[in-house]
Amino acid sequence: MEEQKQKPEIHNNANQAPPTEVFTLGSGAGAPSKNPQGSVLEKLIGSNQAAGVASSQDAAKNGNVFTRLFGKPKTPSVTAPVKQSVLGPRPMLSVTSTFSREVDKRKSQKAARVLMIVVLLVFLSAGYFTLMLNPTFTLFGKNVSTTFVEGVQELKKVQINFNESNLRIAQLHLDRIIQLGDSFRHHYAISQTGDRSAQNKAASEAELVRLRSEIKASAGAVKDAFSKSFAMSIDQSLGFTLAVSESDFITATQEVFQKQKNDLSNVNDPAVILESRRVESILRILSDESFRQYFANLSVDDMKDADVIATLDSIEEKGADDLSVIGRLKKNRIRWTQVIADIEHITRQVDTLFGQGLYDEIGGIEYTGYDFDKDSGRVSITGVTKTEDSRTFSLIANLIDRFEKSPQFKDVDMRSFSKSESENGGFASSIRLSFSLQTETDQRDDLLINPTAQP
Amino acid sequence: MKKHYLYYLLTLLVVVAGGTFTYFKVQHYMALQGAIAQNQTLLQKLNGESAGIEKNLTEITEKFKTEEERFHRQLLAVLPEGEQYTQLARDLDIFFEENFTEASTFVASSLRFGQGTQSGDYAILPVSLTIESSEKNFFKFMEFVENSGALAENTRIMDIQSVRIALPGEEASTGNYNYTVNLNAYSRHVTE
Repeated sequence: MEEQKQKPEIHNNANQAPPTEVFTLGSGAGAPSKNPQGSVLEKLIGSNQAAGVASSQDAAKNGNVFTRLFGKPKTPSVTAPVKQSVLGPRPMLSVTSTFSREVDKRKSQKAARVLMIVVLLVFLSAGYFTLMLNPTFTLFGKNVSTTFVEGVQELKKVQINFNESNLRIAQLHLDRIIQLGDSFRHHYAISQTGDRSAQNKAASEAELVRLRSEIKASAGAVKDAFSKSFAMSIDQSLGFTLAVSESDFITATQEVFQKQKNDLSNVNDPAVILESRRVESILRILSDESFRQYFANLSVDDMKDADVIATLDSIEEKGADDLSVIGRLKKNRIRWTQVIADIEHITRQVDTLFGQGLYDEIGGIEYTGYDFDKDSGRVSITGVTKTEDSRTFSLIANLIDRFEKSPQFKDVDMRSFSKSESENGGFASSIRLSFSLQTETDQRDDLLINPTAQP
Repeated sequence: MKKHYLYYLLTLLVVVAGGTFTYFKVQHYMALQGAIAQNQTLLQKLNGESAGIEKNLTEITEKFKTEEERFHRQLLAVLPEGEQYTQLARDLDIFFEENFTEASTFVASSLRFGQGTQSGDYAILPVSLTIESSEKNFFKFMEFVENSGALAENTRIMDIQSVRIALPGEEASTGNYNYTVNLNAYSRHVTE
């Protein structure tokens, strides 16, 4: 092995691929040729002369180079000198394990370099995309992610401004509808009442045409406003960061108006109070989706007078603004003057001369007091009756029946009758009737009146 | 295993992992670029719409300005801020005075305001009046309250809760009605 180390090695240029085959010019001691067939030199020198000290007997026995090439002479004549001195020490040109290790080393170095380059590329990629895609990383200014986020913020801002203007338009038109509605209801009632003069009715109907047209125009504008989305219409295929729902925008718009309301609070200036009411009205609209939906689904073109009234009712019903409150309060009121008129009308069915100022002379019925109570819906009447004959109780009974039969009153109560003989002749009695206001149909309204009860 | 094979294996793993990472990041990057471009288009469109609607708002505000201000003044009269009972006392006094004549009396002998209460969307101020008036003025008063709250009339909205009327008999000397009216005067519910 020592000998092998000292032997010169022949190898290619380092940059060339390592040899795949080792050529041996001669076999050293203990180093048999790797070529099973042997090289030309081996054939020339003899493969079994590895030791380089073949004896003359061996040479004689095996022949020399010439005998190898040309065969043995039949009669040996010359013995060629086979000595080391002829060829010198056999050079051994071998690229073996050392060469292989070097190749492996170089392969490893190359593979390591490739790995390093790849790792570097991956790090560069990660670094670049971190710079570009992390919205919080702004060391080198805006990256694509920051640009995107800013774009979305800008869009949101514009959308909220749009919502603000849109809602203010809707609020102005809603106010307009209710302003006109107050007058519309008045003229509609006149047009529907039979006992108004023809002149009044014609004027009211002409006014109704104008009011209807204006209300329809404003209702159309409100419909348009509430049909618009509160959120921008974003392509949902990009939805990974654009998850901006309509409710998000409604909340954001509410925050804007809430801030305005807070800024306007505690100021007594009429203009500021007016603006504050507008803002409150918009906040109520924003929090009532069913109200917005009602208008979005409204068929404006087909609106008749009754539809306009229904729309006004709906605004008052659904809305929580001042006008709606006023509307509800008005609807909840009892018109006591009408109740008095109904009582007098019913009384005349029993006493045709009621209210004519003839009680003292002719008799009949006279009321001395009314007591109305809205909470209980009860009406109490006190009065006196006077008849020429003794059928005073019948007169009172007829009055009770008339009240019970009327569609305006029910639950008439007067169970105690008394009468006394009058100084001027005839009989007098006191009345204390109480009954309830009737709001729905009552089977006692179909009560048959005794024919003798007719006045 | 030879060392360089290990390196090549590691390289392959890093290439696969890094390639996958880069692929998804490139997709993300390209999607963001697309979204930015789309946002720009959307922004231009929205800016156009926003400008249009603001112009519309300006026009409508201008058109309704006078009527809207009058309308809100009317609203403030019909449903005022706070109970404002002193203003109501003045308004009632004016009404009684305007309708009082020698032939047709109209005198409120007492006017009492109760403690206001909140009820849902509005506040209630109880008012009690004792009045002596002619029959004609009695009905005028009743109609005044029943028709209160009309925007065109600028009157505070009220509602009669109870009425007790003593009617004059034919033998009565004055022919006047004496009545006690309990009514509610409404005001705005002030949210906290």
